[in-house]
Amino acid sequence: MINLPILPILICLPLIGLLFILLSSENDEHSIQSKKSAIWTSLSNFLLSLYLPLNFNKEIPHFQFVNSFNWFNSDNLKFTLGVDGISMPFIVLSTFLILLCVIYLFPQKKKNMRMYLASFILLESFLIGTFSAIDLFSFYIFFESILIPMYLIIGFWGGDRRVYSAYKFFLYTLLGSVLMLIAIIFLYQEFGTTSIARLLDYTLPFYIQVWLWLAFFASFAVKIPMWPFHTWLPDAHVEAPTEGSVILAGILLKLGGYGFIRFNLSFLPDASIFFTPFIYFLSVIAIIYTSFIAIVQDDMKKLIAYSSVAHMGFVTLGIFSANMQGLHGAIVQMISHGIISAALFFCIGSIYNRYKTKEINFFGGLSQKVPKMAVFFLIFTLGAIGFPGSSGFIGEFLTLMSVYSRNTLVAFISSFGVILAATYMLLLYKKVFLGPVNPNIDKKINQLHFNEIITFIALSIMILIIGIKPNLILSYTTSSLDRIVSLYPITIF
Amino acid sequence: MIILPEIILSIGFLLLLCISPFIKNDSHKFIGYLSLLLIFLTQFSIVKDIFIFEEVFEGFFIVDSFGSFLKLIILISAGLVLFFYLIVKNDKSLDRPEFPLVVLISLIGMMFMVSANNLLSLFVSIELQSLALYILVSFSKEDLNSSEAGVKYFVVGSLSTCIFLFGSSLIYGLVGSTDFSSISKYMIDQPDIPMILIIGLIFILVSISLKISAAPFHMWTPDVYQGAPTIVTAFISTAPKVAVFGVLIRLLVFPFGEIIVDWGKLVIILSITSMIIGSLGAIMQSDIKRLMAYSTINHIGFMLMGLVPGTEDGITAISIYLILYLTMNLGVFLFILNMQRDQINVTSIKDLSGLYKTEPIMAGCLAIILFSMAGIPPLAGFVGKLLILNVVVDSNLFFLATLAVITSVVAAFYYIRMVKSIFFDEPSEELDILTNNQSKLLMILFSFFNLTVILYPQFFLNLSASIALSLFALK
Repeated sequence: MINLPILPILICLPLIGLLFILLSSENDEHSIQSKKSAIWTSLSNFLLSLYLPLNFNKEIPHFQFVNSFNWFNSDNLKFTLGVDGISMPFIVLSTFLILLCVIYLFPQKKKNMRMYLASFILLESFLIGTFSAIDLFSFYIFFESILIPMYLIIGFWGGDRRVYSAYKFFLYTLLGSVLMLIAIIFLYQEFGTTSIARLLDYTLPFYIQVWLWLAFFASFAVKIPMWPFHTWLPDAHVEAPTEGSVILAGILLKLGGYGFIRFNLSFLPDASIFFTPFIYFLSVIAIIYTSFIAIVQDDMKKLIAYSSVAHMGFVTLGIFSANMQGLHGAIVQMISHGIISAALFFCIGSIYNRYKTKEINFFGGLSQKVPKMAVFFLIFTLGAIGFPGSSGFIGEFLTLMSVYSRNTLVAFISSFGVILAATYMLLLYKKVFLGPVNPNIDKKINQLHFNEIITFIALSIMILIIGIKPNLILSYTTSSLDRIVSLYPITIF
Repeated sequence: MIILPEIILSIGFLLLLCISPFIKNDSHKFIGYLSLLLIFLTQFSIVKDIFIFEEVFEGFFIVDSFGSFLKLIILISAGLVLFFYLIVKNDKSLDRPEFPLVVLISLIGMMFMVSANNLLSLFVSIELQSLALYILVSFSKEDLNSSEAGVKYFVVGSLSTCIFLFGSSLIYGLVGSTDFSSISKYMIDQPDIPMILIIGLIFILVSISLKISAAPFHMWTPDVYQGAPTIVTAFISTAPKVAVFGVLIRLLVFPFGEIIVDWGKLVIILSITSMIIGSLGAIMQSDIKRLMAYSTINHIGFMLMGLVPGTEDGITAISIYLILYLTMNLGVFLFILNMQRDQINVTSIKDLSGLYKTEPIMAGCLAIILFSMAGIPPLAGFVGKLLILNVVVDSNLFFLATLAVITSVVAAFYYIRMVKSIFFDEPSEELDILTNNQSKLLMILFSFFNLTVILYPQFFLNLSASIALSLFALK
């Protein structure tokens, strides 16, 4: 096995591609040049990222593919990259979704396409950086940098209220994460190191853990988002362009869950146990309350946005159950939600491109107009419901099982979330695709084109694969999660 | 010669003054370029002796690497502003040879300021630079706003002078000397510090806060920033701020280092109010220059925080923050200088709208600098903020750190509001396209610097650490 510095390559390759995109000709009508550069960049990055799972040693719980760079002249503050079983799936997910975004974008026209593609490629670099940083400061830098391209994507290419949503997204997430910065600096001052691997060896007194936990929580609870910090999400989703929503729901939200596992759960076990009831409380509210809100939405994107909050509720439940099933469930749920919500947003984007509206009541009987899309949408809907055989099922099942072992009541209440999910998703499907053809949409429209079909097929296959063989992901994560699980007693309350 | 740089600058200034009446055409350009050359020579002579440490004129002045370093920054930023003055099209009333000359006088004042080692020499040099600045602010004689700003600045400045003198006299009355080392020695010998001394220090602190525009002594700043010709605003928001901050650091760390418990609280109050007013005050502003005034107040508040622990790390962090702040500020002002519509300067945020269409590269550069000001990683502003916060958290001032980051989020709002105007708004009336390539090149350089500082922060850390060390050598 050659020793390839794979992570720096994965981060730098998009930056090189970015140069090509920015230098491509501007006058070109369909911006073919920049699209080609973007496709090549994201494709090669996706293929390269497959190097990680192929060469990953599943037995080692520690970080692998570690690359360290001197940054500040100190042994303790380095720019360090590495992956373990927790972060590896997310890196592949990021490169996969970005590639699909670019493929999906290829036949489309947009104002300033060059900059649009450039933002996504830049975002890819930052996302991989965030998931592969194993030094607190480098993590924070990547984590925050994401705001810049995302702010531009929402604000520049978004819908009517894009400016408001962009502000809201930017300021909410910034406010959350600056508190984390103080926590990070504190950890650095306390232990003289910011290396995540080394920090794991230290334990902190309880009252300090509580404060640090809250600081990290502020950042990730906004990002994931948990109720009641979720209000930026529906706005951002509704106003963001299709691909923006895909990345937002597909990867950005997962940063929150990833952060919870990586920081709150690993560094601060005592505080995590202390706050578990609090998290359960918020998660249950998120699952039930936002599901009800999702039922009454008029806007398809808003519905999916609220359903994301509900699904993320399962993730937080699973994470803070802090046993193997829970964490497995949370990770599968995050990956699967990343794929399913991305798929749903792509579908809604395709509908929007044809009819220029996302109003649910505008539609009806769409399956007769675009039958292929109806099939795909059904697959994704079933995935979102958590239908056995789809990836959504695995996540919810494992999560509920772990919660059941912790607290029966919470498991009982949150399992209603599954029913509610079926309600709002099937209602959506019925209103949009089934029934008689609504006169609004009774006009000739284009069928799905090649790129859309590729995107949808790729996503459906992923949903099924993970649903049938979740061990594809779980086998990587087990050894890394073992360490975290061992920090927690078998019974919490 | 220890004070060679000052001598070069002073003599050069006098020479330029003598030859300026004899140049007929474009005399301001000629004098301007000669002044640049002079500044360059002075820098050269500073760099040559940057590690010298010596007291001159019986301890009236001190030459150490802290001072030399600040002088370098001051000269570089003043040189850049002069260069802006030469490359952009200015108002007619500014095209006079006196302009670069007055800048030179104030530079001489600043150079003496940062090496003053005695309350008396400090006072004289502060006056020298302030008087020059009053003239600069009111330089556009026909412009009423400029004259108004000049008068305001003058009134507030004289008030600050009086307060400074009063504070110094209290201290002199107690210590019997205005020499910094005598003051320091007095405090070490005295078992408990008399209240009068602290009151004297408070007066001096208030006076310096007025100069540095730390809230609650910031009232003049927005008006003066807005009223003064833009090139002058660019100048007063950079070089004098560095000089006065240098004075503040030197005063608090060396002679008054013993009573850090007393002034620490005051500095905390100053920094909290500055950060709050600097972030909240700018939210509703529609004029970029006025907004930049509040932004300066906010940044000053942030820097003051680094002074609270009074440690070497703090001074290091402040020095780096100052450098980064200068690059950001100069970048924004260079852009404002180039904002023209139909040959007339405009400074409203609305005028930025749709900039990405006419000037995509400039829009990108300005956006990078604005994000950097907001302190979003991986840009330069974040490095500065990180280092300062590091110092603050190190001294367990968690409340202060939390407040600082929250106000910086509020401040981020108005920076991204400008980014919003640039990218998201439809252009109302297009600005004139930037024709001068020097400005473009400089903007690209500034934004490139802001982008890449994160890659080599250690360079600045090493530089500033050795400087901070020299400051503490006196103790």
